[in-house]
Parts: sequence; C-alpha cells; structure tokens
Amino acid sequence: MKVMITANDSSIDSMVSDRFARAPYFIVYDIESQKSEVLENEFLKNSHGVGPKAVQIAVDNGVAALISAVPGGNSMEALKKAEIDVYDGRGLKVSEAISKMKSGELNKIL
Amino acid sequence: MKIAVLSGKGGTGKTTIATNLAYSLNLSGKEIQLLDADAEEPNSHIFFDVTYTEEEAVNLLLPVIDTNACTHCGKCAKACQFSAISVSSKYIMLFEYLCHGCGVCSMVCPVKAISEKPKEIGKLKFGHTYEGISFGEGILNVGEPTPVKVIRQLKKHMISDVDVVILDSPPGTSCPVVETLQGIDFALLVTEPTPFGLHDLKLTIDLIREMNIKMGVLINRYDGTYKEVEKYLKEENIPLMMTVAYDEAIARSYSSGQLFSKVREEYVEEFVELFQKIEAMVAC
Amino acid sequence: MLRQIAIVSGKGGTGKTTLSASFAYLAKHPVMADCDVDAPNLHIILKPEIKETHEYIGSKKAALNQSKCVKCGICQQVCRFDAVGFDEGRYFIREYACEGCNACVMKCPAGALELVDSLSGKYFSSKTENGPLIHALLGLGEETSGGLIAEVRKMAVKVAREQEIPVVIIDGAPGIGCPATSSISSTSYVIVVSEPTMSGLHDLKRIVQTVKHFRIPMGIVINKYDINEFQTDEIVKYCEDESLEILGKIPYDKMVKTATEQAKPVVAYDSLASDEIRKIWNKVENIAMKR
Repeated sequence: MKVMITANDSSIDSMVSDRFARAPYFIVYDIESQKSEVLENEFLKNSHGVGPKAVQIAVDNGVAALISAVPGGNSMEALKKAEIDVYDGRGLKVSEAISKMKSGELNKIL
Repeated sequence: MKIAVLSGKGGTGKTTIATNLAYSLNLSGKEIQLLDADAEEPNSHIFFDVTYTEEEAVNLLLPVIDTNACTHCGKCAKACQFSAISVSSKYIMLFEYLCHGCGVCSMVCPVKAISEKPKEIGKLKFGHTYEGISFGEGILNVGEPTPVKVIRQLKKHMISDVDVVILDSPPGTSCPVVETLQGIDFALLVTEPTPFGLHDLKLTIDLIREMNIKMGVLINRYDGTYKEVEKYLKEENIPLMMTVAYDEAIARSYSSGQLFSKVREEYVEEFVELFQKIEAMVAC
Repeated sequence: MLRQIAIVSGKGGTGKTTLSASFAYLAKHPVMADCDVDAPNLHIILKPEIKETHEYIGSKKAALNQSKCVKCGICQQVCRFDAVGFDEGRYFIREYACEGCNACVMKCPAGALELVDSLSGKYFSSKTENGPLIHALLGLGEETSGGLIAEVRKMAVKVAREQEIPVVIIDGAPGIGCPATSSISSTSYVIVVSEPTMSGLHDLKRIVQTVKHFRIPMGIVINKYDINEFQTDEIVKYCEDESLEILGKIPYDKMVKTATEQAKPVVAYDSLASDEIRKIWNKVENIAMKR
C-alpha cells in the first residue's frame, strides 16, 4: 500500500506540511517495500485550482492514503470519489506520521 | 457619449453618483441609458422605479461527460488549465466552479465523450425608469467566480443613438473593471476624502492612464477637512470635476433608496455642468 | 510555537482592517500579513518601509509570435473570451481578457502561439514601528489569487521564524472563495467580523461554515452592533445555537471616522470602540495564544 505525505522538505525527516495542495513536496511512501519517492509540487504557485491538481497527483501515483493538513472543499470531494483515506499529520515528522498511521494513532479526517 | 462611473473600492458612493447623474441629465432633456455593470452587487435599480420588459440569460458552456464512452485516458484533465476535471481509473469528475467554459476538454477527448451544455451564470435585465431613462443591469449568480462575461454581454446592449450611456462600474482595478472600461469615452472617478480613499484613487488612476481614457474626479462626502486628495490631483494634473458635500440629508436619502438630487435640487444643475465639462474634455 | 491568527469576514467593508490595525498595536510586535490583496489597506495605517520586493507569477497567458502568424484567424474562432483581436492587418492578444486556457495554442496550425508566464502581482516584506508587515499588490486588471495570498503567508511565517516572533496576525481576504480559504487554512485561530445589516447574518453563516470545514477554532466580533439592535440579536441567537463564542460587540463610534481620516489605529484614541477592541484582544490572547 502506498501513502502520500505532504511535506515541508524533501526528506523523510522533514515536517508534515500544514498546507495540503500548497505543500512544497509530496512524498510517496510504499509501506511494503519501505521505499519513498519525492515529488516536487510544480503547481505550488498556481493561482487557482491547486487542490484538485494535488489529488490528481495522489491518484496518478496510486496511493491509498494521504497524510496532511485538512484539505479544502474541492479536494475533499475528489479524495472521497478517489477513495483515498485522509489523516491529520500536522506537527509531526514525515517518518513519525507514517509509523503512527500504521499503529492507528493518527486522527482520520476522511 | 459613454461615461463610466467608478471608484477604487466599494462604499465611496459610486452608485449614488451614477444614478443622480442619470436622473439630472434626463431631467435636463437628454436621452439617457443607465447600465449597472456592478454585477456582483447591482444596486442602481433601488433608486428608481424600474419597469422591466426584457430578460436575457448569460451562459457558460460546461462540459458534459458521457461516462459510458469515457476511457479514463486522462487527456482532458491534463489539458485543462484550471484543474476543473479529475480522472482516475475509477472515476471522472468535474468541478463546475473551477471550469471557465473554454472548451479545451472536449477538443482533446479522443473518443468524443465530452459534449457541452449551457449553464446560467447570471442574467441581464432591461427596462425603463419612471422618468423614462433606459435601464439595464447585469446580475451574477451567487457563487460564480467572475462577472466578466456578464459585463461583456451587458455592454453589447449599449444603445448607440441615445445622448449619454452611463455605466455604473464594479469597484476596484481587477478584470471586471477593465472589461467595463473598454471603448468608454470618459471615466468619472468617485472618491472620498480619507487616506484610504486617496490610496485606492491612485490605483484607479494608474489603471485609467494605462488604458488611455480621459478622466476626472468627483469627491463625495466632502467636508473640507482632508485636503490631500485635491493636492494630489493638482500635482498629477487631473481635473477635480465636482464635489458633493458631507450632508446628513444626503446620507438619509441614500439609506431610504432616494435620489439626493430630489432632496437637494441644486445638484441637478451641478450634474448638468459636470456633464458639460466632460463633453468639453472629450471633444478636445 | 508559532500562532497564526486570521481576521476575516463574509463580505468586505465590515471593519476587518480597522480591527487588524488595532491588533498590530496591541499584540506587541507581531508579524502582520495583509492578505486582502485586492484592496490592501493595512499599510496605510502601519506605514511600512519596504525591505524586499518579490514578483508573483501566478498565471499564464497566450503570446503571439507575429513572424510565425499566418493570419488564418483560427485562434480568434476558438477563443471564448474575446481575447484575440484583429487590427491593422494583424491579430493580437488582449491580455486582460486572456484566461490562459490554451485553446488557441492547441489549434494554431503555425505554432505561432504559446502560453507564457504572466506577472500577476508583487509582494513585499516590510518593517513598521510595530513589527514586520508582509503585504502585496495585485497587478492592474488581474484577478484575485489564492496563490499570491499563499506567498504572503509563507513569507510571514519565514520572517516570524527568523526574528523569533511568536504570532502572525492575518488580515484575511473577504468572502468565502479561494482567497478567503487561502487566508484561513492552517491558522490557529480565526476571528470573524460581522455587521448587523440586512445581509450580515447571511454572510456570517457562509464564512462560519468555511472555517468549520478546516476545523479551526473561532470567535465572532459584531461591529457597529448598535446601528441595528434587531439584526444584532439575530446574530447573537445564531452564535448561541452554533455554540460560537462572541468575543465582543463594538459600538458605532465617531472616533473610528477620526482615526480613519488620520490613518491611525482606533486604539490610538480613547473611546468606547477602542475599549472594546482592547477587551477583544485580551480574550484572543487568552484563547489563541495559550491553546
């Protein structure tokens, strides 16, 4: 299963971003292989519609869950359709958030 | 003659001036058309007894996706510059309020699964006032992001053989204002004598200069205490066309939806003189 | 921990900036972020000295290469925004009307069109007597942008971290659209300013729903509460039903007009409105700063 985490920086030790679609990096982490891939958010500075673009990135990478801040209304609607679970990872490091999600300690938003 | 009445931000009395100008010029025997282009908050009609005779829808063409034909190839989502379509192997969805109605998605769909249907984003209403002023207004539906298309369509109804067309412009300096100002002969800028009014006035002046339109300024709620606006206009060589006094009777007439030129009749003559100044400026 | 407090309203003109400017004085050296990029006004009161200017490129627009143009007019046919004009034998792009949809670029048989980055505004990092101010100015004829607001907020957080300032106060964009959302997302506390007018309660409800969506705690301020006591009662009733805390009710006060004319914060003068604003700030400090 793959998880996407919105991050402030490109490493797994960086903090989970407190913005969803305007996070600087998206880290796609594969729980089975424990491999991660870092994607730079190329839509960061777009003026509108960044939420659906970020959801599209999650969909295109085949993730089953997202760890982030609370996404906006447009994004939530798309995430629901895409059947992607959303967890609140604010205030945690990316690595901490992943292990907490595995142990069921993260607050599920969707 | 086409005159746009505008202001840097809301609340300066732009509508008050546009409506009183229309009323006064009509009273002086001119044939007038008043168009309310402030489509997010069209208020001009409040000051008149308007009989509406015509209505017209303003539509955007929205994509309609045939989910049976869709192969989920994702080309439409990639081509859309506004992120209005999201596609996965499981679903395809449209975010209506992000859609600009540009037609690119139907253009790129390889299996022709996307057709289009009109969606009403606003409407235009036309009629005439009790005094005989030809009246029109654009109304943007609540929740729609931009009134530009409503304004564009409204302006197609400008009557060429009236003496004066007066446009009540949206506030600010963004794209709806630029749309309103296209092809206008004169911009009448309404401001109030405060540091905030002056700041916003400067921004508006920059815009009008860039668009190369003749302009003049009217100071509303003028009480003579704050002189910076006049000082600035003198420095910039922009004519101060008229002032309207800070006056309780005017404020009261506004809050009850009355034209102040009916309460303070001396303003009728002042508005007529204002128009003569505008005519002279546009002629040269 | 850094706290971000946003001041918002469902509609412009409710006194949001009046309140923000006063908080700038009461909060003892906060970072101020003016996110009302459409009509930025905070700098008029705070009188900043600009330290850094950054350009914001938030949109793309079509650009036509005249030397490649074969004058077929297909671009003009496919454009739904009247953004392609024809004058003196050549086609041209009306930049203000172009929405950057790419249709003309895709259909041009000569490859004469492309989408290029367009400068949509600027943002500034400034210094004032009361602390840093981050503000922005949207380009003339540009449309309001959540992206520019996001840049302002990012810069505000950066400055707060660098100077070890514990609080960012955000003068939010009015309304409930993308700019408003961008002003409140991931803040620690939101102050909603409302007015007892015909549309006041309606506007309040819409913004409250938006804040609730983001699960951010909030409090309500009723400005000029005594101009219409009936509408004020309606707002109070709604807040009770929704368990929303009313932080304070600011009376209509002539001193506010004086302060505005002098370009000073209301709290620089002794008045009833000023007293109430001080009380509101004390409450906000207790709630938001200690959470």
